[in-house]
Amino acid sequence: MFESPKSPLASAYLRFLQLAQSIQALPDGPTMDANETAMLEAVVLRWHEGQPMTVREAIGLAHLGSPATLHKRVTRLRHKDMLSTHSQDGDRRAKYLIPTERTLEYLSRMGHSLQTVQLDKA
Amino acid sequence: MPLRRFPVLEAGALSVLSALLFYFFFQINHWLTEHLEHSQYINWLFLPGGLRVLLVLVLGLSGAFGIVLGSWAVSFSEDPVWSWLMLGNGLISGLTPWLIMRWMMHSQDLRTHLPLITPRRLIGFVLVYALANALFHHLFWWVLSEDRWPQVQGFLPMTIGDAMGALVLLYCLKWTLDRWPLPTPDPR
Repeated sequence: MFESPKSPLASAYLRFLQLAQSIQALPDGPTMDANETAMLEAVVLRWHEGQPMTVREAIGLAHLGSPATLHKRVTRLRHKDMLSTHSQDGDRRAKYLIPTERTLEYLSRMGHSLQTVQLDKA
Repeated sequence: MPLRRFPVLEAGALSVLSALLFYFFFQINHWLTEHLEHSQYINWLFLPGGLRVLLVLVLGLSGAFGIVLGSWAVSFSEDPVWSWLMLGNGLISGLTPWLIMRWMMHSQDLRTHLPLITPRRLIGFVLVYALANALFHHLFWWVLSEDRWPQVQGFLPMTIGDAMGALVLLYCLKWTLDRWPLPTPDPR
C-alpha cells in the first residue's frame, strides 16, 4: 500500500513534481525582512484602494517606526525594486509610492500559494 | 504493446532520451558560450552541468546512463576513435552526479531521494556535485597524462562552470515556473 510506483516513468513524474516545487521555492534576489514586508503591505493596500500613499504619509506611519527609520525602509524597498515613486502632473512636490512589476509578481505568487493551501485543505 | 508493462524498456527509452537531450544541450552550450571556454570541454558557464543535475534527480540511474551515452556521443562526434579518455570522461560525467546523490541519501539516511529535493539541499547538491565532478575528471586526466600541470589548471573553471551552469538552468526553470506554474489538480 505504501510502496512507491515501480514504473520508471511514474517515478520520474513524481520526482519532477517535487523538483518543480523546490525550484519555485529557491531564494530569488534580495529578500525582505518582516518590517519591510509590513511597510510594503501598507503602501500596496492604499494603492489598491485607489489612493496611493505619498512618501510623506509613509514615513508618518507611527505604528511601523520613526520617520527616519521608515524613510530608510522606503529607500531600501526602492533599491530592491519593490516600490517606485510617481509625481502627478502639475504637482511635483508630492511623490506617490507605487508597486513595481516585481511587487505585482510577488503578490501574484502569494495569491497562488494561498490558493494552493486552500485546495490542499479542501 | 504498451511500454509501461516493461520497466526495463521504459528505463532504456528514458536513457536514450536523456542522451539525446545531453548531446543537443552540449552543442547549444558550445554555440552560446564558446567565448567563455577555458579549454576543450571546460567552460566557465557549462549549462549541460545543470542538465546533469536535473536528469539524475528526475530520472535516477536512467538519467545517469543517458548522460554517459550523451557524453560519448559528443566525444565521438568530434574525434571518432574510442579511447580510455573518452570512455572515462563519459562515465565520470554521468555517474558522478548519481554517486553524489546516493552518497547524500546515505549520509542523511533517506530511503528515496525525493526528500533530498528541497531548495536548500538542491543548492548543496549542486555545489558538492560540481566539486566532485571537477575532482574526478582531473584525477582521471592526471593519471592518464604525462604532462600533468596543464590538467590541474582546469579544476577551478570546471567547478565554477558546472555550478554556474546548474544554477543558471535552475533559475531559468524557476523564472518559467513562476510565470507559468504547473496546473494544480482539481481535488473534486
